[in-house]
Amino acid sequence: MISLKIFLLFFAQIFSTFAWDLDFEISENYLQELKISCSDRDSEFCYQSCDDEFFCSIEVPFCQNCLGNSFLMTAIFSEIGRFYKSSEELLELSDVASLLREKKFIILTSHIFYNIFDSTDFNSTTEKFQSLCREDEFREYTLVFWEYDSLELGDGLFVFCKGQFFKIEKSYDVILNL
Amino acid sequence: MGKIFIFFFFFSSFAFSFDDDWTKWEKGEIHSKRIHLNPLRFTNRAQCALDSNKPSESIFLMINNVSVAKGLYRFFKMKGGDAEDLTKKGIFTFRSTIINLFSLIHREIMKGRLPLLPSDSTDKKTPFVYKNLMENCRSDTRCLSLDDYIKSIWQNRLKDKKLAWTDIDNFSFKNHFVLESDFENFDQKSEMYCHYLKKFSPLEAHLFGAKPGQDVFNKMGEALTHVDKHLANCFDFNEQKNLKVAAFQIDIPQLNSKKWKKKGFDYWHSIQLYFSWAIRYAPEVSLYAKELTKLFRSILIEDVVLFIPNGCKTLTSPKCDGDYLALSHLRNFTRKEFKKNALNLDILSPLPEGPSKDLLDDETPKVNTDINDLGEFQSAEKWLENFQDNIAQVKQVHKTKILKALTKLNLLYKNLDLNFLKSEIKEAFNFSKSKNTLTEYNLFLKNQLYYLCGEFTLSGHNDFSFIKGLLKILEDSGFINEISKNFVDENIQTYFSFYEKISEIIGHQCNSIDQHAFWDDEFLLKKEGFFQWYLDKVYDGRMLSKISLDLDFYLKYRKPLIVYPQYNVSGNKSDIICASAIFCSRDILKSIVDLYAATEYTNTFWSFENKVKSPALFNPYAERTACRVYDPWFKTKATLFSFFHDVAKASVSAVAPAAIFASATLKEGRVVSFKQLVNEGKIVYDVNYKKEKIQAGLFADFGPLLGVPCMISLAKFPLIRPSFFHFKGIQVGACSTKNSYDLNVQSASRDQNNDSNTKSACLSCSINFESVATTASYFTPYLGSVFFFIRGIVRLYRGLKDPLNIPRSWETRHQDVLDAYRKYGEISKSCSRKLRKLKSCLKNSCEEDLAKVLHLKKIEGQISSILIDGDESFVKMTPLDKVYSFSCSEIEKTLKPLE
Repeated sequence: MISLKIFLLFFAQIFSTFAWDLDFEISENYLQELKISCSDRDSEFCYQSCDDEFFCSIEVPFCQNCLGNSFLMTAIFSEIGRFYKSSEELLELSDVASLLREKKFIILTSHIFYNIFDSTDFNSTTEKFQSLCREDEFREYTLVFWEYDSLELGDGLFVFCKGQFFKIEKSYDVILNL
Repeated sequence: MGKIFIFFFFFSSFAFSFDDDWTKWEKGEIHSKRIHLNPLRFTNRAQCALDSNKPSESIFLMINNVSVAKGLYRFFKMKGGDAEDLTKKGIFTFRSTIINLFSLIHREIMKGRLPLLPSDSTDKKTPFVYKNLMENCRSDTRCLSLDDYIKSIWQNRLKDKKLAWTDIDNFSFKNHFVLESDFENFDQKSEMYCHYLKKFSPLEAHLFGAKPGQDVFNKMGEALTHVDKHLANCFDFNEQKNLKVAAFQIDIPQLNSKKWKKKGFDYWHSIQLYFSWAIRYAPEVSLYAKELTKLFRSILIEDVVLFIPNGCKTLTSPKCDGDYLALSHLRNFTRKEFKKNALNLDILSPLPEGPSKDLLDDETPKVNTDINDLGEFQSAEKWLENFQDNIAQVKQVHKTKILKALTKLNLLYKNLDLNFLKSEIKEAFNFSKSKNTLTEYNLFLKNQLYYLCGEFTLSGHNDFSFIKGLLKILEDSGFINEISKNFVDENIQTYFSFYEKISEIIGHQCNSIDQHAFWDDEFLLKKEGFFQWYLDKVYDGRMLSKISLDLDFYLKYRKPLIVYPQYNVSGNKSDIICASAIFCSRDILKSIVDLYAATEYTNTFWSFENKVKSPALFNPYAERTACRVYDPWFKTKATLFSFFHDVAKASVSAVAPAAIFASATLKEGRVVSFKQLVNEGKIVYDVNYKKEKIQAGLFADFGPLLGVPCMISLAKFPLIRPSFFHFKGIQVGACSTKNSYDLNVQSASRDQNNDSNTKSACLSCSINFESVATTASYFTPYLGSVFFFIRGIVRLYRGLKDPLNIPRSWETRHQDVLDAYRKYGEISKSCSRKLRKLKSCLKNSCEEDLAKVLHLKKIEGQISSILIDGDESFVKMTPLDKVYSFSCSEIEKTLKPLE
């Protein structure tokens, strides 16, 4: 059963890599928009995300109190890639779609306006974000989806790496030299 | 003939003056605006202390938009376009949004469309729902129900008042709304004066000195003739050159001072709450912020905006509690030399004594003598930039400390097995004991075990530890849980209990050996191996910790115990979590101490209340008066505590370097103990704390003492005798031979030289007022009327032999100073005497009345020349020499422009 699941995930990964794309931008109306383009093959992902088979434009909420010198934002931007890691676990697109549909998330990138911890010229956080994806999978601005519900920031949800979504989890990995 | 001559003389002189004797007021540059600033109030020290209980009519609104600017820049980079230009415009939009919103809330309150929310929710007139909300909202967590409450008020404000308000809460119009009678001049009810502050100058002379003399008024006059160099319109963004920070002065004119005294604090409290709420939710924000509304709503506004009272009066009624003291600590960040001296500050010390330290170190600080270094900077912006930069840097240190501590506790909690730890420490003792020769490693290990036992005994003794009580407060504080929510999985209570279990294991191990034999007379303690927090507390910070050298030494012999996976590749020390069972245990304690240290100054940096902060930057006596360290009426009612105590019981510590406590009782009736104060209800505390918990906390802190902690340190061994504990205050030393104690009382002496030939053990008992103060300052919101600052009071008594302590104040109107300066060219001594009594000194009652009416009727411009002739008088006003006619007998009615 486990091997079947791995096979299916592998299968899904191969196809999903090239079938649809995802983009994140600030619109002319100063809104944050997540845009998903789907082909025939993956129209279900778009449909599940926004009731349209080929294109979704999802408005991403602005996170209250996230533009500031808070502890949690500091922790996220300094510990991303070390304490907050991506797991090997690939998320089902249907799960991702239902999370997107609920709009209980914000998007973090190394260049997002919430990142006031780096200077605007040099961005040391970029590499930390990129380390969430395998080298051949990361894009310039790795997109991380973070839970945002009832005006509060929750846990990391998933990271988008070249057509795939990996779960974000907290890492307690250490080596004990007993 | 003589009569004719006299008649002719008078007639001719009158005719002369009528023809061409316009009195010209020419001094200084001519500018068009009248000065719209509230009168300056000068005070001496005692009056300044008294003023701390009066609500201010003027504030500096400080904006630090560094993070906003960074956010805007990234936002526009993502969006595309000229990011730099758009960012600049965005900053100005942000500033105007802040000012407009403030103005809107002010107007709505003054027009009676928004109720005043009581600043003291314990007052019996407090509306019921609001009272209930405030009782259930902790100060260290966000209160979403308060947001809902304000939302309902905001939505309700446009409805029919009388019908609508009772649906929300039992507001009363008399107590919870601003009324016409609250103003001297009702016409100016909803007005506020707003100026962009370019430079601190003689226009704020009250911040630079007490009684103003001739020199001060002349400087004021000079500054007022060039007022555009110092002040600008709030919305004139061409004048705002600095994009990082901006300072505005906002004055509320024409208040009835008696009524304001009753409602002023509620007004400011309401402004702070409404403002924080409105920028996040009020629909009106979109009128000001336009397309940037959503972005502005994501700003942590309490990090960006400060309301600072302009002078000695305050915005929040001062309280003697930890939160108020921590906020007052911000005053230290204004100093020009802050960075040079930062490391000596308590706020950056590894085990801080807390915000009450400022009070103890300096009971009678200077006031009104540019205490915040305003004059040291070229512009108000530079001053504010330095202030905000200092805050940001120290906050960063605290955040990093918390981040590291929580990360370490989190990882060790999940990975360190306590049975393993126990056996490792036992093994370390056995290994060290079994070696007869003092090898390099064994010496190292003995020192390590000594540090371990010393640090844990100091922190964790069940009955006697003085920091245990403090750490217990950390456990009860919601601060760490609130800020670390969603970062770590466990709460502070779990980590604290983890630390306590380790503390128990270490305590048992350390007590189970014969310490005298283990650390015998040959043993040489390398004190620098302790953590800095321990060195600071025990050795008064006279040496620096070199613990990192110990780690290097250890790594020469052993592999580190717990490391990040990347350590095997990098080999970096930064990837080591902890090197051995001893290091790990000490690291856990260090992390707990670090969290405690950050918690001490919570309110200096963090805000959970959704309420803009309002520190009394210009009045160091606000907290001193509230805590009764400084009493403005001291000379008439000063009471000095006198003490007598004796050592009744001594306990002997298991571990030599650590503290032990003995009970020392004060003579009955001389001093009221904290316990008694709690029992009598004189210490009022945060409603979220249970009384039993406070009593337990006090008991934990003071051990078996009845309110006063008395510390006894024991030194058995010549090599480690010196300098155990040096606490300020009165000491009693007790040195003993092996068989009997021979009390040797040394009053007010810190260092005791004991005769080492005849004495083999020494006890010293210090009444440690600091720790009382530190601990007590936590129990918010109030501490009662007696605050044990004995040392402070003694010093105060000495410091009070000066005239500064008889309350005195003086008031001056800027326009009066300018009028006098422009008329006479220089302000004389006699003129100064009038000006500081809030009087004009034009020496002509018609001119004086005219000046008042011009102000009242809001006729812009300054007088450029004047012709007084009873019913046919004229005045020319700048900038266009517009002429008004008036009659001196009825100026208000007759003043009109000449066609």
